[in-house]
Amino acid sequence: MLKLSIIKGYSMSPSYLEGDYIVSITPRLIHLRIEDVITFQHASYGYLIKKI
Amino acid sequence: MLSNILNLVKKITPVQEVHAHCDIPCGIYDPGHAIIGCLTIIRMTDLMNDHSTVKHSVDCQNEVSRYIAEKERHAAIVKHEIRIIWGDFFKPPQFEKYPELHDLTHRIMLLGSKARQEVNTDAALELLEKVNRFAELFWEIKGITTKKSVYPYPPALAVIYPEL
Repeated sequence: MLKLSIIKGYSMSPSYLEGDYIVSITPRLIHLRIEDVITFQHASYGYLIKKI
Repeated sequence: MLSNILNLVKKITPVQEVHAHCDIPCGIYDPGHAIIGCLTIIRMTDLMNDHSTVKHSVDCQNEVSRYIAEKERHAAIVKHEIRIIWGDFFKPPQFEKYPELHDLTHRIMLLGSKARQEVNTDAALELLEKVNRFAELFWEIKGITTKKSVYPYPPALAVIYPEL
């Protein structure tokens, strides 16, 4: 499933500026690997974007 | 054009906001690693210069190779730590209040590369001077006063400490 999201805040690694758009894909058959960038819901901080 | 299309999509359908951060938002920033990195670069440069008149031997090559490896590693640490504070901690109002921050950070990046590529004491000392200034501004923004003291071991140079 493809999902469009917008970046809130700043990040150097991966490098994003506030207002950047990202398209994320929900991988059902692909295993995540180190260095992949993911978005996920954190219990306290809401939706985050992180590099594994 | 792509941006316009995405802005239009955003108006039609809600777009999820995702929060970007270098790490899980921990709020822990400190230029201390960068300062220690600078001191290490200077120390390794000094040790390499001490070997400039030594007769070449396998032992000497081994020692110098180890100094080079540490200098490389610490120059990378300095650049990484400064980039993180510049990119994640400082925000637009602080850049407005301290306009030297961008140039200072860029200068540190260039000096970090120079100190890494060369056996250059002047570049390493200038790198420490710039990182000290960066640390001074960082603590000032945090509302914490600083003092300059000489580090108690070689290369025994003055660095910025927060008065906590």
